Amino acid sequence: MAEFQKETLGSPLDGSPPTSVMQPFIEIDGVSKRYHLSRSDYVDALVDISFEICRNEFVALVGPSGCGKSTLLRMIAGLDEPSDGVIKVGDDHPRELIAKQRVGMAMQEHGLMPWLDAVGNVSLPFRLAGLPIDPERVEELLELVKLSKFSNARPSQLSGGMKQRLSIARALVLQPDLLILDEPFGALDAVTRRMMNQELQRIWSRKPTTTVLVTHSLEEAVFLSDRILMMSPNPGTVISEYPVPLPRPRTLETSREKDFLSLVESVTARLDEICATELLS
Amino acid sequence: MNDILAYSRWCLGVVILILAWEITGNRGWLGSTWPPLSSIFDYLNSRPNLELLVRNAGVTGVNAVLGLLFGTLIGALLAILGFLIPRLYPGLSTFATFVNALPLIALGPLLIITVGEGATPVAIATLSVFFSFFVAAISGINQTTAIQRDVTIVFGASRWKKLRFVQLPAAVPRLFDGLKLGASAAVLGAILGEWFGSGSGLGVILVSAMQNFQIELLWSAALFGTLLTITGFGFISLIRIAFFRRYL
Amino acid sequence: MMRVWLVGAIVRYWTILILLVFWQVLVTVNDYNSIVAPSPIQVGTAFLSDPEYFMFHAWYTLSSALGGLILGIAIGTIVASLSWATPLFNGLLMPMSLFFRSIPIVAMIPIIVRLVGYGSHSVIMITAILTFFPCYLLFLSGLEDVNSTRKDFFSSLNCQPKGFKMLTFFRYLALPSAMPNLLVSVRLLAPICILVALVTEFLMGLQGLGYVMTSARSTLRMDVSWAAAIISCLLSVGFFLVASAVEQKYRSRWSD
Repeated sequence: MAEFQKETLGSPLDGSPPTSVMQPFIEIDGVSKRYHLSRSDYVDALVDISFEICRNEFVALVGPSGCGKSTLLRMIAGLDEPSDGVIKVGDDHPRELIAKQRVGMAMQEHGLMPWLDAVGNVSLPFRLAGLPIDPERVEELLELVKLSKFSNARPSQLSGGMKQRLSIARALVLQPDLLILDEPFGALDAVTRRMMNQELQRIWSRKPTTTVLVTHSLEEAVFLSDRILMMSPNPGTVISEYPVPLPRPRTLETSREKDFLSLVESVTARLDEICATELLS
Repeated sequence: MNDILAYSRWCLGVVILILAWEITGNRGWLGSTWPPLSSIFDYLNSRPNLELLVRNAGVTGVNAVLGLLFGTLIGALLAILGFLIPRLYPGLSTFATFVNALPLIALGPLLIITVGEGATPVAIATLSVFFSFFVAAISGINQTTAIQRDVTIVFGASRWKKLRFVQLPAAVPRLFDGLKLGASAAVLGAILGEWFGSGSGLGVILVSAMQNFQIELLWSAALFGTLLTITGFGFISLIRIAFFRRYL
Repeated sequence: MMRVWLVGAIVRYWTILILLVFWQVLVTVNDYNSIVAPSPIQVGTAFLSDPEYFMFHAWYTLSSALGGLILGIAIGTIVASLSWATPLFNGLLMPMSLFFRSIPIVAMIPIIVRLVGYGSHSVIMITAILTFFPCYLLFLSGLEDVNSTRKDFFSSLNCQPKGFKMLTFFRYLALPSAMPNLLVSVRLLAPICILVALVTEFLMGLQGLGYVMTSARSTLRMDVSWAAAIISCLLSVGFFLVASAVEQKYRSRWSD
């Protein structure tokens, strides 16, 4: 992990898409997911999805509700199996990555343990991996998410935003090769959300990790990612791809600039188009 | 597949249980007080024994049913009262917690004087049912959300209307759960009450069989008590199904 | 200040005050003599005339109930943990659960009394046996009912309930998730423990408030019998309140 240098994916704003020189880290090939409701009844959640993600690339999955983004994310994380097709993470099955504890996850429901304090929660991955706890690393991460003062606080004593920061610290503590973010800021209010986006951006830039983010917010997707993949409504498939060539580090100011806003606009327009078709059909 | 597995595991469990019971009884591993299942059946095979048990089960059953009726009635009335007159609520809620913590057996001495030995089984059954039903009713009525209540206020409904059209219908599942609890509470209360000097009933048989080392009779009486409870459960379930079919 | 307290007490406890008044009135109006039905005053006097006697038996009942509660909960949690680990265990115990839930406690106690024999150990044993089952069911359901997001998080770190990481999963997720259920079972079972202890003492007639209730009846000392009954009620309510307080105190530690 440490030996891979971050490829500068942000290129000058001349509109040219970033070129990925490195080998793809995640390969998704012809993936489908079918749920059987009864012996003859089934529903296709995902159909024939294929794309690649490079190492240390930040990819956002967006799309209307029910398009299967979270299902796809779970399969990349190794928590679920596709009905058809192949997912490879670093030439291995995603479960291999889990077996080596190289995956970090932060979800909308923070999933923190209420009976542990902040330090305990961030230390938990060490225990689960059977590794000795590295207190310096834990402290480093709490500093990174600016929760050092709350080391001994329990999740119930923290605000929503703080809980998510803690959840992210926990996801990063073992220096994962793959970071999975499933609408981590979905439950927060708009103001906190903007702040959290900036925080995440700052944290990620310190040590870029291959990340797949599922989000409902297009601003968030543009702000955080290198590339946006838009999915169609059920049955879900990837129908559009938007590179985000904005330079890093990105700040809240970046989010008010023309290039940012026009990118958000084009992505939003496309989403509206998809949803309108959905409504009419 | 999972269901079949779970079901067969359950069946296996039942079979092992019955076998274990038989063997333990036959070999006398738990002493003379644990008879093999077969000897209990033998015991019940004889007509007079069976008649004795059925007759007394009937007495207990009647006591339990009466207790269930009265207990549910009083529990329901008080719960509705507590709702309609909010001032009374804290007192009634304390009362509910208090009675829930009371040991029924302690009421025996108190009741044989006030209501007489004959009515004590019904009285204890009533109280036993009241305890569980009242708590279920109060919690059921209170479970409607704040939003539902707000809606009825905006529509200008009186407390009574709110109760009738919003909270009671919403409370129905809890009420049925309360009735189910009440069924077992009624049988328990009736048996307990019979210990305080009533002439007949399963409670009487249980105590005398215990004191006289009549093991098969003791187990048979317990068995009949269980059957009464299960019948009660079944009856309530039937009512519940009929109710839901009619009104939903 | 005093007035506020008084008003508050009346609002909460008016039902109990009414009961006391009703009782006194009933006795006075019917002119019961103390052999038939004592008045509150007579009961109070009976207690005050020999408090050590009552305290001795009350202590016996309380300690038996408490001992049985602790023992039953200890065994219940251990067996539930074993059941969680091996479903076969659970499959064997489950049919028993329907059985146990349907037998009235008061029918089971005479049988168990005969099984374990008359003795000072019996009350604790019987209380433990009857406490064990509800605790087992509650704790097992807590172990199995783990928050799905947390379960996913554990999965992402290769920690599953079945497999070689079972113990880790149990220690760091299943067990803490079940703790609230453990606390609830303490609160729910507290009054039952007292009831079971009293019933057992009543049937065995050796020691404890249950014994006092039955022996006093045979000597026609209804005031003593009633005093024992009332102390039992107070004991049970007190025990329940303490158990509730314990639950409240520790609940926030284990749940959101």
